[in-house]
Amino acid sequence: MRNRHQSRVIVGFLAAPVVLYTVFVASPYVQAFYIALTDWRGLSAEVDLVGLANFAELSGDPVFWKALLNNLILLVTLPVVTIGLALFLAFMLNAAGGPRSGEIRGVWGAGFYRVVYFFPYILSIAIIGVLWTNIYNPINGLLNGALRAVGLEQVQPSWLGDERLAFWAVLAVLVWNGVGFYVVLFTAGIKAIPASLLEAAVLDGASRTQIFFRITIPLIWENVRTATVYLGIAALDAFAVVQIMTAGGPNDSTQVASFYLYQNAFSYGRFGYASAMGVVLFAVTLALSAFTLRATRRERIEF
Amino acid sequence: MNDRPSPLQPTRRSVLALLALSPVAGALAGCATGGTRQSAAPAATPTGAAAAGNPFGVAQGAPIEVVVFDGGYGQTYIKLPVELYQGKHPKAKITQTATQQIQQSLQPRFVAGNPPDVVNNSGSNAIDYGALVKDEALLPLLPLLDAPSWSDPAAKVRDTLRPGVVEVGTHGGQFTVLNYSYGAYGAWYSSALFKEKGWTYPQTWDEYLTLCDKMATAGIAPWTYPGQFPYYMFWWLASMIYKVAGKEVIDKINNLEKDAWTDERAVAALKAFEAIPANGWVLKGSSGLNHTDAQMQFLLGKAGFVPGGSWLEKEMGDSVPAGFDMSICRVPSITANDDRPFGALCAKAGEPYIVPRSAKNTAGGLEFLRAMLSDESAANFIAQAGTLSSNRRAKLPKDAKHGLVSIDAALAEAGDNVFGVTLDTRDSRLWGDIAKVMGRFMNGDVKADQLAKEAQRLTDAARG
Repeated sequence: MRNRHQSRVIVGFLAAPVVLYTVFVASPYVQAFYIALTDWRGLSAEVDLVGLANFAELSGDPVFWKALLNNLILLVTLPVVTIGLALFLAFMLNAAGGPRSGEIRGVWGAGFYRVVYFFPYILSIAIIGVLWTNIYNPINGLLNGALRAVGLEQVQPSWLGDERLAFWAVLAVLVWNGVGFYVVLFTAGIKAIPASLLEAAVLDGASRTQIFFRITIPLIWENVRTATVYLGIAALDAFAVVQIMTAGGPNDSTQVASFYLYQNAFSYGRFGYASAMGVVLFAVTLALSAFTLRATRRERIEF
Repeated sequence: MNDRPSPLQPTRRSVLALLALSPVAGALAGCATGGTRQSAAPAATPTGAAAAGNPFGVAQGAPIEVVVFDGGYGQTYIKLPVELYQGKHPKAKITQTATQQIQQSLQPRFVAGNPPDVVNNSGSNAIDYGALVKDEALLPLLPLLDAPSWSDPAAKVRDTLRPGVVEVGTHGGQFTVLNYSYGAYGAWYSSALFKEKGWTYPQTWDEYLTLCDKMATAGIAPWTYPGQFPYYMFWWLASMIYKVAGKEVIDKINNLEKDAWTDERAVAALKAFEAIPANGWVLKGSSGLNHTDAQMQFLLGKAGFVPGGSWLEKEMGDSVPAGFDMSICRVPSITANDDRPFGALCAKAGEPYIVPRSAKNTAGGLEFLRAMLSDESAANFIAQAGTLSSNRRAKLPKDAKHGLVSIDAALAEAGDNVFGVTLDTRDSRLWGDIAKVMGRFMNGDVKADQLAKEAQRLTDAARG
């Protein structure tokens, strides 16, 4: 009887979240697969099945390919740059100061830097977008103002208006936004490394570089791996920053798949086509995460 | 979408439950899909006798309900037509409300068959016109056009309207939407700056280029534009095409036809403008600006011309320096035999009003629109909303801003040489794609003939 009573309680607690999840998460996902096969425009209740026509159109849509390519470039550059920078900063803040009174610590003022680096992460993404749009403003912006101040009046790039620069300008914002969080994440990892290991390395005459590559990175590899997955997801999204800063322009040079999908659904009223895009993205994301988890698998080091 | 009922085995309980739920189910189905469509109600059922001064035969004492969109124009302008209506029909009970959620609050009432008698179907939450037209939910407003004007019984309402009002309100062959406001599009310049420098507004394109050269010499970039929203260039470039090539080519562009952009007169118009980016006469950095940034550069006197429309003066508000005197640009004559005379203008009616076909008091709805189109209501609208009205006879207030006065004067000069760009609502994707190429045209990456070819290629692809 008691078991039955228990299971009732469990079912009672689970029912509500399962229903909510099914109605608001699972069912739209499943519906998207069906809508991808239709020409639904998002208004009427009637739709026509068009088979795989949306996917055929997608395969010949240069903007979609451009967007996907941009996502792939982000997928490589965003984790590499962000993690590289975050690792470096975390190491400097925690282990680069050398032993003082028998303790490994960071460079002078590490506590202050740690707070400053984390600031961007607590700002809302909308604020970040607007902030950087103004910094990049070619006429009144901080960046070009700084260039003028050091006598570079001739070098006044139109950061977000130049097809060659805009993408990298957006990437820089994504890195700036994310790096503080990963500094904190890696700091936690580095703090967990037993001080005796680092001290032993120092006593054996290991340089900072050697400590960094031979001790620190292998011992916080799990954190790095987690960071890769998070940043991979961020790179496949990048919606908010693109929408606020460039709307995919100029000339689609900063277009990403998520924003192009949104444009097709909500600006052009092509929900069927947008759903087809969603299905393709779903497959791409799934494949990439499987690949990432496999590629970064290493033996866990116990300490 | 695919909410077909699954085949269930009926049991006593399920049947009872279904019976109990059926009103709910009916209501739900009604919300989503409208259920079975009722045949369209007969148009305009006058409940009183038509008479002089009461052309639609509004029944005395019939209540009327008006719903206004509470957007950028506010809702105070509607008070005067309400008073006028009340004055003529003292026994009628008038209910006037305002909302920003037209679709959310009114769609269920359309479905239930008791919509208001007049609806200002506007804003981002407007009810989709395609659906309204398809469901024959709109009362044809032809009787309104042929009725005498409220202010001048000798004139028909039709004759008081600005050009294009009927055209832009015609859906599926019937005039069903009255657009109440009226705006011009193109580019702006500062009359005060011109006066200060001793420049006159050029009549020919050669003079225009000479002027641009003078501006550049004076340290003012002739043009700026919002590179983040390159579609702002669309109206000005279309105006140049209209000036040279006329309505025929503009219609082709609006209707996604072939040989529209690549028409040699259209190419000639674009080629004329090509001199601006080619000579470096676009403010450096414009490609990275948004519309308010670009407009700010114009107001600061850093640029001579900026693209935009009627809304710009109000949008920039207090940022407009006192005595700046902004004026709408007219396209100078480009070739020796331009299709349209100097003064041709891009202008279009907006702020749509409809009378639902299934409304209780359709005659009253028409009568209310007639009151709105009276000269005094329209003048009141101009004063309250700060933009022109579809009634061409409405007077501007004494304190009207310089830009508004300049548009009114330009429209008077343009007469019937007025065209509207409708591609934006027709195919927003194509509109945006062509605008991207215009952005590249402005920063010099693309030449005029390439712009024409690419715009045509996109048009042909969109036509399918």
